[in-house]
Amino acid sequence: MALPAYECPMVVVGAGPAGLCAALEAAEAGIRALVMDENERGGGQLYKQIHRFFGSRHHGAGKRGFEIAAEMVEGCERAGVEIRLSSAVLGCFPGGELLVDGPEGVYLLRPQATVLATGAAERCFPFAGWTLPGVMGAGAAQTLLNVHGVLPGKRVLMVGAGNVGLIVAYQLLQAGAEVAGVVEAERGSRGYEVHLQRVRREGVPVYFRHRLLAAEGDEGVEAALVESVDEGRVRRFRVDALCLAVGLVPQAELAAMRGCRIAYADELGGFLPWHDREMRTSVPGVYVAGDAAGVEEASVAMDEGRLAAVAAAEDLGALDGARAAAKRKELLARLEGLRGGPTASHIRRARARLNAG
Amino acid sequence: MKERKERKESKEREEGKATGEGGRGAARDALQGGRDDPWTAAWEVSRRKAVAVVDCRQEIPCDPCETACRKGAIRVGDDVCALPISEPETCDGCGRCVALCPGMAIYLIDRSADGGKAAVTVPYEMGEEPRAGMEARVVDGEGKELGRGKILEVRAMGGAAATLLVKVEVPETWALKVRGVRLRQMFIEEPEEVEGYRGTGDCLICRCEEIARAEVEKAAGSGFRSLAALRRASRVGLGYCQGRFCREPLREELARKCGRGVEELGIGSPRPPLRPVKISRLGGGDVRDTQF
Amino acid sequence: MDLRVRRHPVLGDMGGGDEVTIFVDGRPLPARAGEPIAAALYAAGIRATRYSRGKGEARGPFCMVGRCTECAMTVDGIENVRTCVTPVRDGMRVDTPGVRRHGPARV
Ligand SMILES: Cc1cc2nc3c(=O)[nH]c(=O)nc-3n(C[C@H](O)[C@H](O)[C@H](O)COP(=O)(O)OP(=O)(O)OC[C@H]3O[C@@H](n4cnc5c(N)ncnc54)[C@H](O)[C@@H]3O)c2cc1C
Ligand code: SF4
Ligand code: SF4
Ligand code: FES
Repeated sequence: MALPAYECPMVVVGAGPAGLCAALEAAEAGIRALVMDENERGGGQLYKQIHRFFGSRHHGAGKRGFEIAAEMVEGCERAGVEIRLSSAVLGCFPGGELLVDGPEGVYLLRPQATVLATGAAERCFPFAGWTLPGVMGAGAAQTLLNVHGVLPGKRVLMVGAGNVGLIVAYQLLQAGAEVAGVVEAERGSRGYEVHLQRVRREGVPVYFRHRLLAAEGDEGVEAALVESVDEGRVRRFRVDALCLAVGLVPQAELAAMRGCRIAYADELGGFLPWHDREMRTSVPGVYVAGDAAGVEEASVAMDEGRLAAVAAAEDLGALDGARAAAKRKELLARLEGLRGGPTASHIRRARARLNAG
Repeated sequence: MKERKERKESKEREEGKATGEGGRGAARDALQGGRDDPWTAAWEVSRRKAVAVVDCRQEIPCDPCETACRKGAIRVGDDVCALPISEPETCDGCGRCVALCPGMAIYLIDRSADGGKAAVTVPYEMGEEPRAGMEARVVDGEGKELGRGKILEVRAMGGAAATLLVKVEVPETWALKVRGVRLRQMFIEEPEEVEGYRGTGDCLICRCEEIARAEVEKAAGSGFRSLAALRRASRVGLGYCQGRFCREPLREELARKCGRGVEELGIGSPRPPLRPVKISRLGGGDVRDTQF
Repeated sequence: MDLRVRRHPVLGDMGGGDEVTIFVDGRPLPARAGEPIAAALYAAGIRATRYSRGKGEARGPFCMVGRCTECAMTVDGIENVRTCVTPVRDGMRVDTPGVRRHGPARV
């Protein structure tokens, strides 16, 4: 099958905060990037987020996720960046070609520079009854709630008290569902205290040192069995939905197909394309940014996207060394600030390891 | 600007990750040990006017409170993770920070009216609509109900998708405790005890091909050392989802079984197409998904 | 069961959900124009989108972004359509693939 193929200077895979910022930065350097995303809308994770984002003034913090997404998409339009939606990148060949399935058909792109900003996928874990309808990822629940206006259930149990679990629990309440509890195996939350407090304030019990054993039901979830880790006490929660918020995994498949070296960092979600501080992978002309380069936050994703574009522009000769260095210095300082707090010590650890080789 | 001594201390601690039952107290001690707590100054000033109380006790990368305040009454500074510091004297009680704080960690207190009453303004984003004159449940930071309070005023702030600011009247002694209002009647049903639960722990791992964990364990036990080998032996991960679903659990299972680290097993060799291709693209029907 | 959110404190009015009609296993079901099939089903409390080939167990949407393939149904006679990423169309026929045998036993 001979597919049509197109040459272009730069392709960004993923229209999340990382990808859109990469395209914006590239535009500033005079490179017209093509942004591909399989979703119908741009903004990545952000368009389904209805809460106000933490982060800094450089990242639109204080606005709601979907508002930030809309602003970034508008910014791209103004800058003349083309975003191709409903366009999935199905493969990335060792020669650098990208295989795309979009409204125009199936075709190949031959970019000089490729930024992989594919974000992360939800992790799941198997347990008895996990195949029952009504058991779903927290992200799926969020899509149902905030994009389609449908409750995943009337009474929901959330598994995982990290930021995602806590935020989605709150969003379930906002949409009118009851949250029977948040179950967390650890002794405390890895999420931010303010998010934990918000959920508690609404009267939702948070069960630390508890783990999910099984989901029960016939055509769908009717109950969940939860065990307290320390006492071994098992209890049954009557719920009609069970949401899993047990972590995210960088989507590194395209990088692996392309032949990029894959590294492993538990703290960043698992396997990820190895990259240097400037977001270059082991393959010349291929860059990574955002959750695909290690699961962190939208604000980090934005600055990493910009860093990746600076590196690409420099390598393509569109940005001279001095200007690239100046931009990079500012971005790296900002990233260091974002990762500077005690909640990011594991990230700093993993990043140091990664940079060492 | 005040000293940021406590910030350095806790950075050195490095362990402040846990924010559950364990971490909380420590964070608060560190905070209150190093300087005036955020409450004392606000409490005094609130005798005269409404002021913001910033109840943000963890150094997270966040600063909208600073940008929200047009009076410059909240400072985070150049270090985005620093704890916000408020200056109650400068604050005019406008409430913008209350609406814009992503953590909903800021509230206003006002004790200027006499009669042992205080007015507390909290952010509100739930479905049940608050209206002036209503009675609402007033809760503390842990969600514990303090009692009832009368809603004095409701206003919307913070852009097109606004946050509501709900001002409730409460006894003065609650002024620093109130952290939220609740209008919904919550029915948190106590979970029932299950005696003598004996699950086998078995379940499907591969959802598409319906392969149970026990089968995978058996295959792994008989010497398969890689995902590829396991796949050939049991068809696990070869279903319609092409392993997108079960890859992580499978890898973990295998690692456990062979006593190897997950990272040693490697990411495998993903092949295109990453997603099922719509056949329409290849000239066929309209919406059909297929695999190459 | 009705799981639709009609008014939302942040998103405002989210619409009713009876602009179009689809036919699920022959029965008419109202849906919001433009929403994915899986959302329309879920809103009406229809959680099972298929029955597994081997054991005949109910399965339902898990990822809602087109990745897990658990929501694949037969749409207008075409098999294996991921309903979470396929919008409804007026008069669309949606059939549940597989045969129901049993759910997981109660523990
Ligand atoms: C519930 C929740 C709450 C959060 N709250 C906050 C917060 O308050 N503050 C904060 O800073 N961060 C927050 N985050 C994190 C933040 O959303 C992510 O870190 C951020 O979105 C990562 O950006 P990204 O661009 O790397 O990836 P994403 O936003 O995930 O975007 C990746 C994009 O790539 C596309 N894509 C992937 N693969 C392909 C392919 N093969 N072909 C075509 N397109 C593809 C996807 O469709 C997607 O649109 C939150 C996350 C969640 C889940
Ligand atoms: S209430 Fe207004 S003036 Fe006071 S700190 Fe908040 S934003 Fe500033
Ligand atoms: S905006 Fe809120 S959560 Fe963020 S730093 Fe300020 S007070 Fe803390
Ligand atoms: S729900 Fe996962 S593909 Fe549709």
